[in-house]
Amino acid sequence: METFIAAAIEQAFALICAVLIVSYVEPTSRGGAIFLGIVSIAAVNVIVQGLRFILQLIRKGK
Amino acid sequence: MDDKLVRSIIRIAAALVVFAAAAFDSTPSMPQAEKRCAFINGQEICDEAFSHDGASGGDFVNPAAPVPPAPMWPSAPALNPAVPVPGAPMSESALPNHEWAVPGVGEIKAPKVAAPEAPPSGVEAPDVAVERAGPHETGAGGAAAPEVAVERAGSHETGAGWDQTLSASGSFVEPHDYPPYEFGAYGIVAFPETWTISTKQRYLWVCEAFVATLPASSSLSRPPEQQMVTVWPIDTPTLARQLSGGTTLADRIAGCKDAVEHYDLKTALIALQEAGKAKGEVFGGEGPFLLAWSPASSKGKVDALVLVADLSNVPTEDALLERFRRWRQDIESNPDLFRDGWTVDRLRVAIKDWADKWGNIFFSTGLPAEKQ
Repeated sequence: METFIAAAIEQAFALICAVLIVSYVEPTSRGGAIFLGIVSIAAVNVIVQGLRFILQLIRKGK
Repeated sequence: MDDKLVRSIIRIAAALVVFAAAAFDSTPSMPQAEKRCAFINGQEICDEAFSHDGASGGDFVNPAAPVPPAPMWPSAPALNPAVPVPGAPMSESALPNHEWAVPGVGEIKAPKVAAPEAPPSGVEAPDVAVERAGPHETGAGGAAAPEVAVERAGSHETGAGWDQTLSASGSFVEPHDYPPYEFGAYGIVAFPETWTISTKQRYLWVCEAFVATLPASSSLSRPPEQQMVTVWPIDTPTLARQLSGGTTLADRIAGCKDAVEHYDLKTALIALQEAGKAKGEVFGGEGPFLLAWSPASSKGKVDALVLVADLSNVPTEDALLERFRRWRQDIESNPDLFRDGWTVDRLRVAIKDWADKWGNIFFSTGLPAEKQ
């Protein structure tokens, strides 16, 4: 359950970030907006996973 | 999962959201306000055109109001008698009274003072002092021109600021009227090749965006030396004059077919070559490139200030319109554009073009050609 909640939070965060990025960049075509949204979600997920990995490393170090 | 880990992830997420929100608010992007337009006397007038204040330098003419008979460029007489005849060698005294930064050196300076009034014919005006960057050299010549001080930013700057801007305009020109020396600054819509059957629609879009966003230079009430004209080179003199004579937006847009078919590639390639030398790069995209020189007389000089906008990856008509609108806005109000380097706004435009290009490629795959 906890894992599920954490994943949901991550994806919600990625979605919020993607919406922010798309609304800031304002692509002129619908295809561009969808494409940028998908890429943004993927990029945010990569960043979050990277941060999680770093956190785990730090915790192991302790 | 450990509670601590979940909490730290949530904290990081919250911090990133706050950071993104702060970045969003603090970004100095260009205003994207909705334009309200109306057709008056057959010409589209938008409220944006009337909202220009002195700071942004816009000075559009309401066509409904009586307009003083403005000289039609390219046959316009030079207001500044120091402006040479096109093709004649340039003298120092002929430089327009604008300040600009040499690329990579210091800040951009706007035109410092209003253009001096042209003296009555036959009256000899005072001498001209020209100051340039680097070693402080001041020369006095005997040219018959009003007192003009041209200072280039560099080792000494006057700090006059961006107290006067240029008005963006557009014009169709014939080859031997290029570059138009009488203008304060000028730009060109440069394609690296002429149209083909497959690219003609895009050329038409570019032309329509050019016409729709840049008012005809002859329709502006400001004198040429306070205008930054962007030209569309035409290979036939009579056609160029005919296209420049179009008074209504509909006339000008209707002329785009001829303008595309008679695009003067030779002039464009020379401009691309000279801009490439000045910027130290090769323009390899499909274009068009918007190239600008300031002052107009600096074209071809290696250290000239060149502004470049690459529209190679701009895929749609709407996006082209927006890029031309941005070109006009930047010319009139945003000296930052003339700086080399990285800005958040440039990054945003680059991401937008990239997303539009690849989004269209991905999401139009498999659709019939007319729906793409």
